[in-house]
Amino acid sequence: MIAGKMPASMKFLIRTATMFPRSASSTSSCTSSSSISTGRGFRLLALLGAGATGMLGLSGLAYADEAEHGLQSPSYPWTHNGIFSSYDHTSIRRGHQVFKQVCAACHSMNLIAYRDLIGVAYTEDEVKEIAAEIEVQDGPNDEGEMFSRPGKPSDYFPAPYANEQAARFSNGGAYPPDLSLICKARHNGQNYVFALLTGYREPPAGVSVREGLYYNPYFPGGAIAMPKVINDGGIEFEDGTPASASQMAKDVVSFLTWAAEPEADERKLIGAKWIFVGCLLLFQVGHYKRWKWAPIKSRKLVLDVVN
Amino acid sequence: MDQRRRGGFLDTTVRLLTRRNSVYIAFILTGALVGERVIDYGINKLWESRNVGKRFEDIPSLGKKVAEE
Repeated sequence: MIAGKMPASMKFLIRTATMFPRSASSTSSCTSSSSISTGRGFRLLALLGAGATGMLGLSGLAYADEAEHGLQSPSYPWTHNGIFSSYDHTSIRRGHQVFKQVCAACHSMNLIAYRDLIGVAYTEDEVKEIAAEIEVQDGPNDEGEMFSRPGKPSDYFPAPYANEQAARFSNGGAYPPDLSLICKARHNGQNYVFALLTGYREPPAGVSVREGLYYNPYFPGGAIAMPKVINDGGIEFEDGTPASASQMAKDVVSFLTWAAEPEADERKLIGAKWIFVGCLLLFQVGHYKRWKWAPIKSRKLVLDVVN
Repeated sequence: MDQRRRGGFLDTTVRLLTRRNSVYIAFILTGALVGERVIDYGINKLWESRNVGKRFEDIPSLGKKVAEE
């Protein structure tokens, strides 16, 4: 993030340091005591000290996070990161397939309806077909009985368990969280989910996790109840993309990021347009202000005082 | 003192548009209508050029699910 751009204060620091090399190392001998007392050298030392304290303070913050957030996940170069970057809709489509075949067995997603996928990953006819694969319990009919019918686009994604207790019972006491907002609900959501899915490994020497849990350094605490489900060749994509573990993880995270923030594409477009208009308006408003103030700013006051 | 101040392009434009209030209002309304269409078009074009191949319409297997049936 900071790689390409140096803050102006750092440039100033380096410029003044090279201009006054002796005053920068002013802690050496008594002969340089004069350079400490000079304004420029002292200011430089003070700036360096403040910068060092700031950086040390920040690093302390990062370490404290690991107990709360697990191992810090790397920042992956998602193609939808950035002001002018849209989602990769083909990736969302594949991600939905991964979700349906791998994740939906345990995880619910009860804020997403099938119709939300229209125009995002599938056409309307495709969505009708996908929805029709599930059976939905519907309200009382004219005879007062509940009946079962194939799904419609207006139905929400089905939940694998009837309630939380059933989910906990089937998963050793752990509740598989609903995934509708997981990428917003976890710190550094999309990087975290990708790192978690691909981050299963042998625990380091001396660390053991109890029976029924699995070691994952990215999970806070290190012991997660979910086994490694994303494996090479686990599913077959409809469009024939080779299903490596990282491909599946990347696609499912694209899908989950979309599910958490479906408005992102439109939001970025609106932001771009109206910030641009705002900049134009800035000129207009600035001109208007200066036009109104011109008589006041160009007046001359004459004090005619008689002592 | 100069009786006629030589106006630049901006000076002339502003004077023309703000002389009469009716012209001013008309400029604002048409400017908003036309400007919004122009800005929408421009930014959409920029968006599409930056996001080649990522749009919903660009999905290669679109419609294939239904066609297979």
